[in-house]
Amino acid sequence: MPLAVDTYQLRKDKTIQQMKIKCCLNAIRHFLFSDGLLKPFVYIFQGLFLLILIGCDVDKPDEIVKLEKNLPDVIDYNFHVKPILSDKCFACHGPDMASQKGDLRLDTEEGAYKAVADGGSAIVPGELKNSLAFMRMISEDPEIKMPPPESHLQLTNLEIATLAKWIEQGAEYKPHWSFIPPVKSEPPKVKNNSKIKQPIDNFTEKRLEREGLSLSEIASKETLIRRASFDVTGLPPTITEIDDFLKDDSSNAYEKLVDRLLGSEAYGERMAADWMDVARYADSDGYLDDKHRDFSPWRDWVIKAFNENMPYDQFAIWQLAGDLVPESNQETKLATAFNRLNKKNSEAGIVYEEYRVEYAADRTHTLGKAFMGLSIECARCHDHKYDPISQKDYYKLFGFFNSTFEIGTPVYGPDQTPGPALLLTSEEQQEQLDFLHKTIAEQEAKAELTKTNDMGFEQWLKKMKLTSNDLNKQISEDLVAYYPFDQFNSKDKTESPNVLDSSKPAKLSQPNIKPGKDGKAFFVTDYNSARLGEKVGWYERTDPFSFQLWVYPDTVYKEAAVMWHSEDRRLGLKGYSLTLRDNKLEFIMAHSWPQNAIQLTAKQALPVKEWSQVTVTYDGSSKADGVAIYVNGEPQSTSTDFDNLYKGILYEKNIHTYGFGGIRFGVRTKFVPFKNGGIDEVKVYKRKLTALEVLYSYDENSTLLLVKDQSSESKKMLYEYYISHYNPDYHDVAKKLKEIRDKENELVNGIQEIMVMGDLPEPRSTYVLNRGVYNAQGEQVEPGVPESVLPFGQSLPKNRLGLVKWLFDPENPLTARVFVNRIWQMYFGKGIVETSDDFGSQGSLPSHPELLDWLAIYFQENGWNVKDLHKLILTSATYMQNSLVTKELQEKDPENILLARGPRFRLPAEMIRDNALAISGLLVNKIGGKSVYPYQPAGIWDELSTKSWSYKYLQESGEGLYRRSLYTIWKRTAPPPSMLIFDIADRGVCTVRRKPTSTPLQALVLLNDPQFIEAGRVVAEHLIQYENDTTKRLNMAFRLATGRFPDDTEKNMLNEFYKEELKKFDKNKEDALAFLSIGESRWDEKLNPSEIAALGVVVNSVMNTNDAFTKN
Amino acid sequence: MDQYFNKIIQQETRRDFLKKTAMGLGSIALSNLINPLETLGNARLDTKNGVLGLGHIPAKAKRVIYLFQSGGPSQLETFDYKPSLNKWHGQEIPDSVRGSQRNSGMVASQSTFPLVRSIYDFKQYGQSGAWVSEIFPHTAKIVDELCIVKSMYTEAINHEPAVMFMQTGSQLSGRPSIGSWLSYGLGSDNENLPNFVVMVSQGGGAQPLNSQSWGNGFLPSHHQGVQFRSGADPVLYLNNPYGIHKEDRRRALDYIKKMNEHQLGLWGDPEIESNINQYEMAFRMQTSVPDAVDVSGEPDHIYEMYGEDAKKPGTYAANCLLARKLAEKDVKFIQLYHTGWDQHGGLPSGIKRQAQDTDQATAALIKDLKQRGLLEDTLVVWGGEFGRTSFSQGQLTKTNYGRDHHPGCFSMWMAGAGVKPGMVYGQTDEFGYNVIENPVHVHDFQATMMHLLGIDHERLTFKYQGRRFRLTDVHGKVVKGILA
Repeated sequence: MPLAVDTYQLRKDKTIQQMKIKCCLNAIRHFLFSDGLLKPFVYIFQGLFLLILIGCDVDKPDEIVKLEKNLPDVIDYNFHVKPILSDKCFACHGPDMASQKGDLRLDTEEGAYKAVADGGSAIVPGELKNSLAFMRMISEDPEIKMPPPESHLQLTNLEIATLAKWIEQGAEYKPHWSFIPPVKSEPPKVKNNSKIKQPIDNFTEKRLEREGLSLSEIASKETLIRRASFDVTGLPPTITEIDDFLKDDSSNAYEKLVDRLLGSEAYGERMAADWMDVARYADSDGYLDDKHRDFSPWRDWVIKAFNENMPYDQFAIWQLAGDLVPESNQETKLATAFNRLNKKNSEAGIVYEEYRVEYAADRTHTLGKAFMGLSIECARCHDHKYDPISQKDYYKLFGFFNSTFEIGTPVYGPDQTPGPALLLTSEEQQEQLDFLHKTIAEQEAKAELTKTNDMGFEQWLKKMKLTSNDLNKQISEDLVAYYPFDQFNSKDKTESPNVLDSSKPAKLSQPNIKPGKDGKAFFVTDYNSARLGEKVGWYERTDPFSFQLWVYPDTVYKEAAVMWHSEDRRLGLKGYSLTLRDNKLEFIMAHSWPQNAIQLTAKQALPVKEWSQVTVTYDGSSKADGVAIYVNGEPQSTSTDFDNLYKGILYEKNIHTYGFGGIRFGVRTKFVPFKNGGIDEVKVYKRKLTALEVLYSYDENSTLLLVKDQSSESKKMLYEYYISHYNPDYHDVAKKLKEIRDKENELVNGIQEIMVMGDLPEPRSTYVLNRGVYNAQGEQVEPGVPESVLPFGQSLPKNRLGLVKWLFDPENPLTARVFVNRIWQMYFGKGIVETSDDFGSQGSLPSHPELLDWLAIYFQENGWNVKDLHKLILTSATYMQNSLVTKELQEKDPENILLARGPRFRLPAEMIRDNALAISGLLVNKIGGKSVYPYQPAGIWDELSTKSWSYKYLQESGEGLYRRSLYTIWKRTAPPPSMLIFDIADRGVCTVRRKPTSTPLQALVLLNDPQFIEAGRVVAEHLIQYENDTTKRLNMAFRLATGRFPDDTEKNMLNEFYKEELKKFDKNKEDALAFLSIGESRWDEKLNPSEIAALGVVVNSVMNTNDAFTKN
Repeated sequence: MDQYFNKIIQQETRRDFLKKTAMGLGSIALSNLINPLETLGNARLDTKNGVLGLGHIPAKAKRVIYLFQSGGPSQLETFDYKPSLNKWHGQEIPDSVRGSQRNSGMVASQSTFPLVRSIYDFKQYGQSGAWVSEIFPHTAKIVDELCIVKSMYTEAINHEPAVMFMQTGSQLSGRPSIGSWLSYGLGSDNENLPNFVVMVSQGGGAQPLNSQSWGNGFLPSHHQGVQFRSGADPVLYLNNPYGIHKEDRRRALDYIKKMNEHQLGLWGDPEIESNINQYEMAFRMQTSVPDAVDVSGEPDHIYEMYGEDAKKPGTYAANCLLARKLAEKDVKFIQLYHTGWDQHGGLPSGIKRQAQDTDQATAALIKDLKQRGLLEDTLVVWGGEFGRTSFSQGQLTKTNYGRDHHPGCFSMWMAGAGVKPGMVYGQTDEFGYNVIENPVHVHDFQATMMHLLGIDHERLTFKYQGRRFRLTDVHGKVVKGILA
């Protein structure tokens, strides 16, 4: 805390008498600064000044001294000091190097103890009066005071007293508590053993003893079964289950209950609902366009994984690195969809790289929050202000996610998936595919054999008298379109004929016609375009075809679209296209570029201001080596950039896509135009031309000479030509091949894909991004971790596989703690560390540190067994105790941090609705599948978007209305309102903690949402059908809604209430009928409508009382 | 690490001590003692009065009506008159003007960037002599009420990030919106209506909206904007079920209350008390909201003023009229969204249509507020998320052109409480491309709006994940020059 020169100059003349510094500070200051000309002397005097200051005897202000007796005997850095320093000082004197003021950091011993520039130290252990930091904390001079008034941060006297005592005791620093690996301790002995059921209880009871408290009595069996059922399965117990449990007097009745619940399939759904917040699960991309995307197969996997009790390490490892694990298979890869659930932007104007970086960043933040309990994102733009995570550390972590084979394009065509994508092939489909692939391979081999074994060639060669006529005829037979661009319609030249089919002229917009290679040609301007006739060049990846054109580059183009038969770049270039890149020809054939595509680039650039004849031939194999690029008849040497095309390339128009526009030239979205470039003599062939034919089409004479010379080179060309035209079997084989390839294509096109992880063969370089801006690259970094947590093992691979090994290293201090804490949070409403999303300096400290460590180690040593962990907690007295809020507890611990009573809080959003569905019997118990569209007020989606492609909320009929809430369609820009109102996470980013609120809108949902009205009415119908006695009906209604028997007062209320309602509906039958019409399910017309309505209202009303929507 | 944990502070002692000292912490819960941060982080919530009570500084404005023009209205066809573009029309924008400002991905492929003048004429109006485009004949007449800021600039170039930036101070969704911050800070002046009401004009086919633009982010969810919708259910789930009338609902609520009170006795959980209050508030809303949105009693001259559209529920005009009604009822933050200002191509016809849909009602709202004396303590804001390029996107023809997104400058206006009327603030260069005088960043605008409401934007913070967040991040200066 140097008393910096500029601070002095700004200083106004103020007294600091209150500081009680018995020296002549004022006089010195006055002496120094009364004259602004003295600036140079400031430096000289400063040292002197400080020496005087330090030498002064310091009294602690009275108000600080008064507090001392209230402080603990030993002040602990982590538990007492750091929270204060972190909150009030680290913003300017913390780990963030860039914003450090006065070259001082207080988060490390070295930083705090070291001599500051002008002498003295901020903190001198044991010497309060020499600790400049203390001096400034107690100053009342706004120029000196720390924290400075403009920070709007203030230290309380208690905080100052704490810091003072800590300095006096030696100012000992320690690593942050959560970065110290957990240590297993023996559960502490407690005075009263009678309440202890599990080691957990030793810790909680011990803590309570210190407050003169003790665990509460075990809750009633009614309470227990409802509590455990919701906690484990998310559903209420049935009346039969309650009755059975109440009747079961065996000593292990409760344990049996717990085992049954943990063994039920609903357990997986309940756990998945929670994990969906962590994974930011949604059925749409987010951002304005919010295209829909089906990730439900991943959700199904999560449910299954929980139900199979997959160990947590495997569960996490597969999700983070299932594509890299040695046992990698479809299931492990599917798990990695976790990483691709980030929001995706499909706005037209985005820069893809900017969003690719954003997505990698989101994955990094998710890793931080979900697995490490750290707010990593704070270090994206600068060093973390509070935790020892530098900006460099951030980008090291980011590096693990930076090599995903994606480019930031949204690719939202109806059957498209931005890669890396995984085909979700069923076993049956896989068998079919294997068969087809085998058959294709056989046919391909056969075609090869046809070639190599062909004995007819030599004979043919001897007899062969190949003439221009032959060649012309053979080539023209398969020519399907020819646009010479020599003639145009007279008026505005917007049409130019296809000489082979007058019905398919080229359509030109703003034609720019100039002399071309032969006659006239089409030249590209900034805005013009040409489109060949309908379906000219309409080829699937299984079709052999060729096209040819003359091209005139006017200059060297960095990138220019020459010709394309494909979608826009943001739709994955579906189709095929020819581009110039630095005037090198680049041919792409894609389903979803770049991952599901082939791409070749010619090594030689086209000459500038010359016409070149370009021919591309393709054999229908979906392989890069089935493509040949020719320039002026010469085959070009090419590099293969991508070679992984496995789905169809035809693109029909769809509301989400632009669709088929024919082969096009000219201006193209997202490409710089081929400006002043010429295009002429465009030809399309419905087969793969042979090299001989391509050469012939360029230069007849030299071809004919070549034919005659019969050199080895010419023989090779002739052989290819012979096979394609004169071999008797070849055509049959080719035809068969095409048929099987079509079958395979059809099958694959029907298989759903999902976005998963998959890295580039060579990792992308990662750089620190200045201010977090995607293209402001700074220092290059290698993938790595914040070493302050745990160093990254030398032998670990620097990819996500290495990362997960580091994460699950037994020495990693965070992973197990973070997870057990969240499980604890599920049961008790808050974690042992309340900020379950932040185990860093600014997070809260654990309420029961030893318990947290004990659980973390138990969990690790027990093979990360999740169900065991649940059972341990469920069978503890801490969990099983009742939740009565006594006056004493309310006063001492209103938030129940110390757990002197059982948990009691409002049910999460999903359970509120699922409860209504369950008690009414409407719930459809079906596991998994695509998301569904239950009741939702009309118009919510339409109000936000009226785009022609906007998605409609098509409320389902039947089953879809009554599935568990985790299956409700989640549209990011308009999530289900009734769930949002009950505080569900918005699923934009990873969330591990919901913030419960209590609002009138919640009351309105429970009172008026048809879902709840219908459920209440159906309950009423069942009761009337099942039970004749009104009182019994009411009791049962109450039990269904709350899980307990009503007491006498409640029984009276219910009776009275019911009578009034019945009176009302008896008087107003129309109202009863109207009430019964709510919801899709029909009411039983054999029953008395007034009775149903009256009972329905009572049921709904009970559902609106606290006991019904509270986990008790 | 036992040794560390074993030294935990002695709670009893500390609690005793806190009871004795007058530190203004009020009732401190045990949890706060365990972690001192909690006490000192987020202030306890008081929905009625907000965390600030009366605010930091004297407030000029009691409420805000924010007419958000989504899509990015062109400054060049509305308020930023650039006669100099006449001589540049059709010429390439000089590199010196474009500088290193980024362009959107939509014009990245364009190889020519011809400047384009406004196809619409401008004239000076009122005593202030401010220039207004002919597409805004009604706004032109109230120009002396407006404080037009021509020097706005932002950082985002795509719609959603830019809207989010304007509304939440961050380009990424998930932060609290302005209205949520105000609700959190200032609470409510009307217990029967939400603090923060949102209305979205219907129709169009324009860029969609994201409901997170009025989300509460990390603030408690009762601070989220409540959407008032045209149609039968003005607030979601507001209407009683069929067959249940108001008196039936009252009767049921009385029983619910009785049962809840009984449960309170059983469990002693104060949360039950809070439930009881929420149900009463819900009941009040069931009456107050339909009352508030009922415009049937408005006289003819009011409809004449707002235009015919005001009779069609869901239109911008109808929402403007409703905004006035809600202002009368002291709703703190009333936000209208009107989409369709995204003229990449066909700008001349597109922007004209937009103006026709909004101009009259906007001006009527100002006049109406004024005649009721409400303009004195209501701040009205008009503006979008960014401006548009001075060069044409796509081809420039005699009758047609387009303009791409442009974060470098744009025009907004404010009117009413605390801002100087009849003022034009800030200037752009002769191309309407760069700000050359009195730049106003989005955070400055936000800081100013908060200032007018009595809030020091640096001091209204909420601690989340260890950090104190605020609407203006770590930036923002109050634009003193426009304060009345």
